[in-house]
Amino acid sequence: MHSVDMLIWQYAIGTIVLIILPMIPVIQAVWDKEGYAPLPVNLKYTKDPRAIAKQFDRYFTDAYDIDVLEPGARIESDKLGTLEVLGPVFEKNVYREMVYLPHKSVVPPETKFEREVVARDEVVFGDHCYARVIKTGKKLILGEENCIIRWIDAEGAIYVGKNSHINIASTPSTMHLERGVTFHRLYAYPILTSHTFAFKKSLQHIRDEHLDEAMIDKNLLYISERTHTLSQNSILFRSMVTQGDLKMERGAKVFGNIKVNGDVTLAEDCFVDGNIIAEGSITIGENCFIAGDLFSRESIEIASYSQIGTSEHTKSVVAKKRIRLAEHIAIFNYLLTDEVGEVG
Amino acid sequence: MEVVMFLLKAYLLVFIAIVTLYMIRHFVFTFNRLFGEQKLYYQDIMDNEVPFVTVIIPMKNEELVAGQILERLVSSDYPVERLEIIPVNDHSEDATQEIIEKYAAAYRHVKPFHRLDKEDKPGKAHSLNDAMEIAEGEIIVVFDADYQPPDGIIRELAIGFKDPEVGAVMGRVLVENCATNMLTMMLELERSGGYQVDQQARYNLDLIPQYGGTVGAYRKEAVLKMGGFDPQVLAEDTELTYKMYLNGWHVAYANRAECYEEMPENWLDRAKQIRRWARGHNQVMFRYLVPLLTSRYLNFKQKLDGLLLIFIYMMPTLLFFGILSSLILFLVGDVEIVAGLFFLIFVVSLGAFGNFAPFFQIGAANFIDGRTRALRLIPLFAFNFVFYMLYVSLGFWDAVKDVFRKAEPYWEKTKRHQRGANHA
Repeated sequence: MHSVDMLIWQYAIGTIVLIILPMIPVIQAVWDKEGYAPLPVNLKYTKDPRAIAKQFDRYFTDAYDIDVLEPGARIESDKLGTLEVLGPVFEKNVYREMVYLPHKSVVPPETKFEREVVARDEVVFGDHCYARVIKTGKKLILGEENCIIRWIDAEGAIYVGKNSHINIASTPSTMHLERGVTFHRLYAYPILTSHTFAFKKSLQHIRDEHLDEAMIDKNLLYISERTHTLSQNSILFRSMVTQGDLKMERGAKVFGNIKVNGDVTLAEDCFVDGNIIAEGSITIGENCFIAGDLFSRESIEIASYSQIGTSEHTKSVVAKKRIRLAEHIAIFNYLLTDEVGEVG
Repeated sequence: MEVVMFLLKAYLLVFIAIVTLYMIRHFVFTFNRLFGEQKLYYQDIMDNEVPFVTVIIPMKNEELVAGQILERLVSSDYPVERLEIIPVNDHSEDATQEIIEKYAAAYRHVKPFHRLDKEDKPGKAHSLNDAMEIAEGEIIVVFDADYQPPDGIIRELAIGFKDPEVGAVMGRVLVENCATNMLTMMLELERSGGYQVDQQARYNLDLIPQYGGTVGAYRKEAVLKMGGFDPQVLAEDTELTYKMYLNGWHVAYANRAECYEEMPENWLDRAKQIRRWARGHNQVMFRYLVPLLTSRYLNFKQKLDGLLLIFIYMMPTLLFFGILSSLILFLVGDVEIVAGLFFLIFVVSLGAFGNFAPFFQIGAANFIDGRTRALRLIPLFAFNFVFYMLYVSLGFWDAVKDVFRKAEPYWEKTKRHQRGANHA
């Protein structure tokens, strides 16, 4: 055969092989239809900050009959394993099974729970305790330097002692965090750093004092400067978008939403009747009042005596990176960071 | 003759450069999605001060799916006092009207809007414009009738408007009937590439995420100020995207606001759909190319991304001419440079345009979604690509004809199958 003909044959065979080989998995896929199912979407999903605790509650009540649980009992469940029911005295330092506390309890210092602690009543943990999960039906008090690996949830107030780590915490009541507490996600009504803080700023009072509907400009204010400053005690009655950083000097007020495509810094005594959304970091000075949400794609820092949100409406503080809270601040009601949050 | 040969070669070189640019773009997107920092959407904000929302569902002969979407919407967790649902009956000739009225009788916040007069021109753009006039909501959420919105999706879309710079929000579409056959599965794979990687990466990189016309929301005032939707344009969603950016607004992408849709189950329906999309997209290109390049609101990278996005439905036509040029050069024997390029053009083009989502992008997206078994179908996209080249090119010529035509374009609705009943 002529060498050119040979070449053509080789090309033809090569082409056929190159087409057929990738088709083998295709034929297999069309034949077995494996992996064809639609991606799961939970059509009933609805956002709930206490969803984990509620889900756990359902599992727990399905697995154990808690009405007949008395101290000393050990109950087995296929779903959740062994449940140990404890009385008022904690005899061990380390509990390896899930624990149920039917009565008001005081956990001694340095007790370690390798699994969940479920309590029907109020529980007080001493210092240096460790648990995977704590779920209580009433108040929960954690001493200093406790470490909760996954989450805590209480129907009553939560008090967290100095330098504790709580990861996720939720309650429909108040949550008090002492200096040095670290967290990932919090939900409470409200979240307070240091329980000595006891005041609420009045949004209605400020609105009555300053706000006249006719004064509000519905058009967005676009600011293209690299850094824009709202001067001391100035008042702005419209929403704004800045392409660079924003600085609000002492006592400045904004009645509207703020979007900053950079960092935003508020000096002390500032007020915003709206949300602050920032591509950069957000720094809130002392004694500021933000009646809306704080959302940062970087970090958030809030100084003492500041308040976020009001008791009338749930608001959020959300940051992709760090959140640093000073002592004596109040947040209504939700706080979340992808990294770590810290008080102090 | 030499001039013609030169022009053909020059055309090929320019075309290969453009296609390579697209491939680099998609590589950047894929790399960003796999290894880059992901931009947080606003879904983590919990705020019970929510805007008044109007959900508009344009419906024309939707008796197969009307009940299903209304059932899903009335079970939404969005506060009823801040929500109204307007199913727009656009000259339906089946039982759509009765189904809508049944829901209106049962739920006060379902407010039907019947467009039955002959003077009311049919079409999605007209339906949306008319419904916006009676809508009370400051935010408009749009679903096509074959969609299955989850209970929390209205909140997830509406929360994006906490950002005063956001003019529109786009959710993620999943193919509900993907298990039906090979075509629907391929469509789901390519949708995954389009949303999980393409849209999210554009959002991450602050480029131009696209409003998709359904599973999306926009500010009513902003759209009304821009003149509403133009019935002459078939891709009202793409047009809205460009209008938003040209007026200083941004589009946010909510990857976790997921919603099922039905996709065509046979190649003929898919051909009509892709031809219609190409036609509408190219109409937008003719209209907004110059304003895009001269906009004062967009930076260089947004203009470049907007340009590549607006140009994408023209690429198959250009590729068709590229192949034609190569063949001519081959047949006249002038193939010294082009012979190698011919192969390259095919490899690069196939890599870049397995329906506008390159293979590596589809692979990465489905890897993120945890669906790897179905990726065995990827080699089929080589053939799918030829199919698209034909119908997208036809859509391009339709758009060219539209430039000279004054009448509103007519389009055929995609056939429904009511597979959603499986989930309901």
